[in-house]
Amino acid sequence: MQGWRPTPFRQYILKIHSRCNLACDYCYLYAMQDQSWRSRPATMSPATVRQVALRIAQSAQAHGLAEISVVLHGGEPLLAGQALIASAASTLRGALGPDISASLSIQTNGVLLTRELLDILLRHDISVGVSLDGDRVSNDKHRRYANGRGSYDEVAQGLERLGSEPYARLFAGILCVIDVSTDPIGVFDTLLAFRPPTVDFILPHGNWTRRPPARGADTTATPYADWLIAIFDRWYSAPVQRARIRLFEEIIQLCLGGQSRSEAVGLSPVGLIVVDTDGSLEQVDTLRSAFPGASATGLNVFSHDFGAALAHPAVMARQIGLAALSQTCIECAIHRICGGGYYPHRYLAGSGFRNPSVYCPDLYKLIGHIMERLAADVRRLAGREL
Amino acid sequence: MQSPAPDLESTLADVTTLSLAELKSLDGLDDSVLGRSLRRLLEEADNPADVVAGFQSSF
Repeated sequence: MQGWRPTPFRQYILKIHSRCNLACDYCYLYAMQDQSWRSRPATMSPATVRQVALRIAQSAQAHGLAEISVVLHGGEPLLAGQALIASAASTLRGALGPDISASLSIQTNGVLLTRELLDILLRHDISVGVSLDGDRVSNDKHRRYANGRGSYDEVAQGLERLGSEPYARLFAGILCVIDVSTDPIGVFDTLLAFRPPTVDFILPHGNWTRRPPARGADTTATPYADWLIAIFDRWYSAPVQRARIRLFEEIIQLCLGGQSRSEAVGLSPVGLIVVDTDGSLEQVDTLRSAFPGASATGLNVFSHDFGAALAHPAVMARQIGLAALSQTCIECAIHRICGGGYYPHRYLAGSGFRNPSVYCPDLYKLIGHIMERLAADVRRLAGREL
Repeated sequence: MQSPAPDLESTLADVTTLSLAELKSLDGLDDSVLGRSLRRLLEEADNPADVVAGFQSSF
């Protein structure tokens, strides 16, 4: 595109372990189209970590960035073990040197959050996000071990440890995948009981070819919006918010004319890249929910720098904002807010990604509702203050 | 694959009715959701190049 300049990566998703100790039925890595994890090494080797760290440092220096973030991800990253997690943190910070700040985090299913592991995370200042889908019944519908046993009890114990001293300062938040058959308020209250600073609600992955659960073709049905609106109203109306909710805060920011920091909504350039256990560079790996190989770039940290990934057409497509949207979206009043929805949810076999989100009716209703609540408050604020 | 009819223009206009200059003139935005959001809006208006979209499957 003429005049377009790439946005340097600021967030690096490192797949330090490609296997998982759970077998969640909606997992985009193991239960969907792409099975490439089978041919990848289980663990990222120390040599690959060193090469990734070198490339990150080179990229940050080349673009004059003072800070970047690294997410240790999986599979289940805690399966990589204490030694590799500790050495990865030291290697990354060592390569970046004193002039570039690295914010490190890990996203885990929480099953292995022992005190020994938390001590390591504390020592290396690695914040922790945990995945939990609500109360025991809601969570264990999907988040189970391979033998069918639910994971709630172990995760709840891990969350209790994480939320207690001296570890509480590491607690980043809880990710919850939506199941519209559950009670939204019950799910929200369960999550709040663990005292997370932030919660985020994730739409289950699907697209026009492989529809998400309960997201049928009837555009008058909005089960996901209805589920989320129940939580939004409870949260927004509370005198004090006990946790931030990322999805809602990003939508509010966009409604007010600002920009999103999440790839879920909005048109902000996507500034992340995924590095798999073998050092291969991938686009956001949730694209694997669309079709086999959807996230692949053909690049690898041993032979390519991150600048090569920035020039990849599929990476560019997620940095060009409006130009990547379908005509249907461009003609919609709120396209700047939903941003066409999450990119993997736009896929249609034979058509690609230049479509509205399969969640379009839900996004439209949710955003409309949030906008109406905001509009009333903005009018009050303007009348009182201006 | 039909998008709903675009009927939110007027609400959108209401929400964005405050200009940045007007926002900056407000004293003591409270700790409500709106207050915190407006403070973030002002902060990011000063550093627009820093806003990029991050991974939704992590914190």
